[in-house]
Amino acid sequence: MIILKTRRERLLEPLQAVIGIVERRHTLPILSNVLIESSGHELSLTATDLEVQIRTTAQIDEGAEKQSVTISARKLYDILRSLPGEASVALESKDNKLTVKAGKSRFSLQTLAGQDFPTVAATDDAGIELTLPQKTLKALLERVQYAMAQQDVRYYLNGTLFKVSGGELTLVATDGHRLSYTAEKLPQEYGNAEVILPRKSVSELIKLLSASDDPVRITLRANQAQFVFGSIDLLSKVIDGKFPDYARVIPTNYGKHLSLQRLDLLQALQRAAILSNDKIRGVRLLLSKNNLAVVCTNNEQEEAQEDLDVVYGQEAIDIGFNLTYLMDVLNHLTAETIQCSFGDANSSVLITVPGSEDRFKYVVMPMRI
Amino acid sequence: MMYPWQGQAFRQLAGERGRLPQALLLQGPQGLGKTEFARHLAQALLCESPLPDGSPCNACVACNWFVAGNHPDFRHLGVEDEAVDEDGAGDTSPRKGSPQIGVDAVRGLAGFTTTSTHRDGLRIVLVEPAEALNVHAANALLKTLEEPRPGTLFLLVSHAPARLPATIRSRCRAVPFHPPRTPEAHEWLVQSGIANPVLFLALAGGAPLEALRLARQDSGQRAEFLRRLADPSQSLVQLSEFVARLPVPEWLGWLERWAHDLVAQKLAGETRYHVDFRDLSARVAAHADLYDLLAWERTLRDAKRLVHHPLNPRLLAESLLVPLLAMR
Repeated sequence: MIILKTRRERLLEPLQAVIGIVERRHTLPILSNVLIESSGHELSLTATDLEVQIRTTAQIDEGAEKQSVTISARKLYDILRSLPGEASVALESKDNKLTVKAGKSRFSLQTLAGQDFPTVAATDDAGIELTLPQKTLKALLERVQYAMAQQDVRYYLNGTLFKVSGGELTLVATDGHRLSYTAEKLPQEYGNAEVILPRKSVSELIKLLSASDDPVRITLRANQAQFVFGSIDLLSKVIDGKFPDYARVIPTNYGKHLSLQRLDLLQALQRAAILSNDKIRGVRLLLSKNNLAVVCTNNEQEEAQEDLDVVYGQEAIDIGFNLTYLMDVLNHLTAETIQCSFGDANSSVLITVPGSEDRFKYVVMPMRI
Repeated sequence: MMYPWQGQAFRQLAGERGRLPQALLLQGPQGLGKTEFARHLAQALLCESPLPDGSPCNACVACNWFVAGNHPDFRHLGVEDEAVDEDGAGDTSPRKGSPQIGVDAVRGLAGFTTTSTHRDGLRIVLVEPAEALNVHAANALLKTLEEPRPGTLFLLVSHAPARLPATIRSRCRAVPFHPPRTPEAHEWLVQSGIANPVLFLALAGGAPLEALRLARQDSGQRAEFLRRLADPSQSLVQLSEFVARLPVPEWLGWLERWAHDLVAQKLAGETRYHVDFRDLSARVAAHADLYDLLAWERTLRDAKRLVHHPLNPRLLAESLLVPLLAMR
């Protein structure tokens, strides 16, 4: 029975979009498979790792009516990728085998039944639906994503908070040492919703979203989040927990401000990092009249000092930070200048982008060096 | 699938759908079908159109996935998982294939128990057997077990609940399982095609599944073993040679039950396990000393802990058989 027949790219492109979440080793064998459903000229591919489900659709030359089958995603991907560019591919199923035919090549693969594939149930909950340009969402995610915790026991930190309220979309990520916050005005009021999107869904979204003006439709429900863009339908579970009250972490009353060229500071940090302690990764910032000194020392008593000319006339500060946390934010911003606001040597630093109307905030806790 | 003697327990738990506690500890002797019961209960609770009596419909997608072993809201922590798991080869991880549930398996649950469910229903974790959790794994489970996210159910199956840490036991509601009434078990064994249910049920201590296993595996080795044990012409070397060819858990089980029978004969004139060797056990018990027998029985019970230890089986057999030979 022929399942489909099409040009190689028509199958490879949608497969490429879903292959990212297919894990090589998993408790359920069927999860290393991709679900192929054909219905006339419509082809849809679905993959899931039980946290995210990605479904893509494509137009094909010829397909059977209402057929579904699952085969190893990785193997199909490797086969398609190694075939010559203009090859035409046919998938035929027989008993428990699926044959991939292309030119003179022929591959026979094991299949599992399509109805055994654990697809996520669409809930009745309508949730909150909003639409954004893809590049906007991508930029928002990129601005906060690096601050998410990794496998923290505080499981609600292993993701990014999506919060819609008062006609504004807010994204927040934190690992307890630093926090990134970004907000975007929405064209209209949508009501209130708050979900925590797991780490993997966030990185997959960033990978799949394009830097174009095409829309992405976001639906936030109580127990899942859906992102529909292009031919992709990404359905993610959400982390079942309460995100900490981030507003209390973001300082509002700091008086010492300092404007800096982002790249100057980044390069100074990168150079100083060479002589930083590998374990602690600490850096000292010594702020005095019109001068910022970046100092790193390591266990061998070696020292790196970088001086930056700045405009600063307030009280001198000597404060320590984790280098990685500072470099992360500088790497992921695109603005030319940034503004750092300090309290005293024992309080956090707030990094903002001047002229962005408070759309981005980054808080790093200091460390004693 | 569920066994006929479990109907009552199932009706009771299925009736509590929606107000079950976060953790159930299904405890009782091995061979009563507790694991099958736990799976049946899990399937019933995950089923999307359960029958009026609470049983799973076996027709909806959830049931199909469950039967195929693909249900995304169900996790099974068992000893096989650890054997397949090849990473985490640190100091804390047990030997490959060792009968333990390691800490990595428990930590692997973190993503499962904290994200929302796949089908918007319960999420169920089956830990079986729970005493296979090693110390670190048990401790890693405590936090989640005590207060999981709403809609989470832990099913712990234990053949020896006394071996579980008290911290685990106190976090679960115990559901005790008892051997079914003898006529009921006999009937089931006959239906399963066992010709001599009385003997095997006795050998299994009343546990029907264990009886079925013994009956299916019975190759006359047990009878041969007991005959040789009681035969004064058999030397220790001959005996241990014979025993070394058998799997350790098997003959150690026979021996332990034999010791129990001898004590029972001595004290009450009854035979509990090897009912087909009643006369022989009476004869052996007649000229054995009760205190020797009791001491030997205790040695055997201690030796059970060495079942999975890579000891030389012959030496183990000899050390355990010496006291018996002195008695005959």
